[in-house]
Amino acid sequence: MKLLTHNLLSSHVRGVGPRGFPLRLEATEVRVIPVEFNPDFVARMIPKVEWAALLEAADHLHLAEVPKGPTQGYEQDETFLRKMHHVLLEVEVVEGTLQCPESGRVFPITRGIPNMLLNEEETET
Amino acid sequence: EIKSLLSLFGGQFTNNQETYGKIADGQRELIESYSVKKRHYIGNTSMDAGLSFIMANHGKIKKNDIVFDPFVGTGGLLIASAHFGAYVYGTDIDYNTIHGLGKASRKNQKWRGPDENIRANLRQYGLEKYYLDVLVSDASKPSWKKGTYFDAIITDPPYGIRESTRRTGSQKEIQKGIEKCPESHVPVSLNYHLSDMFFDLLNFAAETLTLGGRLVYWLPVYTPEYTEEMVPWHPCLKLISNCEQKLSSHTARRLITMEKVKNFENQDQYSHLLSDQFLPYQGHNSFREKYFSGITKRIAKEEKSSQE
Repeated sequence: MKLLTHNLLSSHVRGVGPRGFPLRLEATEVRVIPVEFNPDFVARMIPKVEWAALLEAADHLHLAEVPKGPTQGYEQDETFLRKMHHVLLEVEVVEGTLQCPESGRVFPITRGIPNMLLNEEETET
Repeated sequence: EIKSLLSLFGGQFTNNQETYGKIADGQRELIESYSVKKRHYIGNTSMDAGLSFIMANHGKIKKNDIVFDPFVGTGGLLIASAHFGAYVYGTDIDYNTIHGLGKASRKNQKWRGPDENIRANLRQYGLEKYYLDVLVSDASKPSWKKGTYFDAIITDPPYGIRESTRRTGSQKEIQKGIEKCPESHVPVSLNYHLSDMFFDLLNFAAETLTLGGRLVYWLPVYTPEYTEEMVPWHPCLKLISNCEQKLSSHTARRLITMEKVKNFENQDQYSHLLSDQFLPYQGHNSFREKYFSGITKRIAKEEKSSQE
């Protein structure tokens, strides 16, 4: 699971609503895989990123050099975009967990794939 | 081959080469090189390569888009989207399909091998850089945060014929067809009524598509009863096209394309409207029964005897 994905996921446990975001990330196995740098795509993603959630997740993975927020004129700032590219797309959680901050419910990540399934009683109506 | 595809879709085939990627030029090679016969990872209902490109075309998928398939299966629609330079997400309720485990869909092959999963399919075509993630998830209970970030949703939902329609349920509602798969992590499966599924799909699209973004999906119909009023609608989505593909003498599926034209406000505001509107489609819950019942066989027999 990439950090871009983590930034888009929220718990849908019944009753939590917007307090289900962000999920608390823990990892027991992480890998870094190179992905071709595409500055236009990265620049498009910047406005959609929730920075606090990203910084918290990056911190849990002990990542260094994570920008604290978008720089002025970031669309042309290659250094910034390359760092964001790395953080959002090249770091993958292979084994770990995502935890709902409100209910404590844990969703496992196995072979890089989160399992978000819940029982009927647990989900939103 | 191009001509037969065009007639299949009643000529509603957009040839927007410049903006949406080449599909008319050298199309034969495209379909051949992406053929499901050569694909590493397939399922029982993998989308024909040509159709997956047509769906991507209908979705106006372009470079740097984010595309999502909530019933991703083996990822055929993601491949077509990635071919046009979009970054892709997929979810499926079936743990084994998402992980690439379990029984193979190829003749003479018992189990799926390690190179058989959605990511491997993209890698096969040099498109792995467009792979974002796949998740095991129930499309009726999505895990995406509030916001608009999908440029297109392209999908082929299950019809309940060759793949079952499922969603997670509670222990109390145990019905026939329970899955006992500790590895697949689906606690209980309920029959997912088709009309509920399209209600959820349209609502989800209205909430998460960017303005101008498109939803493209297949709608199964029982032809003798089909009317245009049955096509699900939503106040935020405009119907762009509706093309029929015959499946059998009395069943078909329709390729529906919709575009988000209005921002989603409050879900409660729409549920009253939607439930009335969906009454015509209720009949489609019995699509599965009609497909399997003797009705179609009897009608075919009558047609044959009237021709003699």
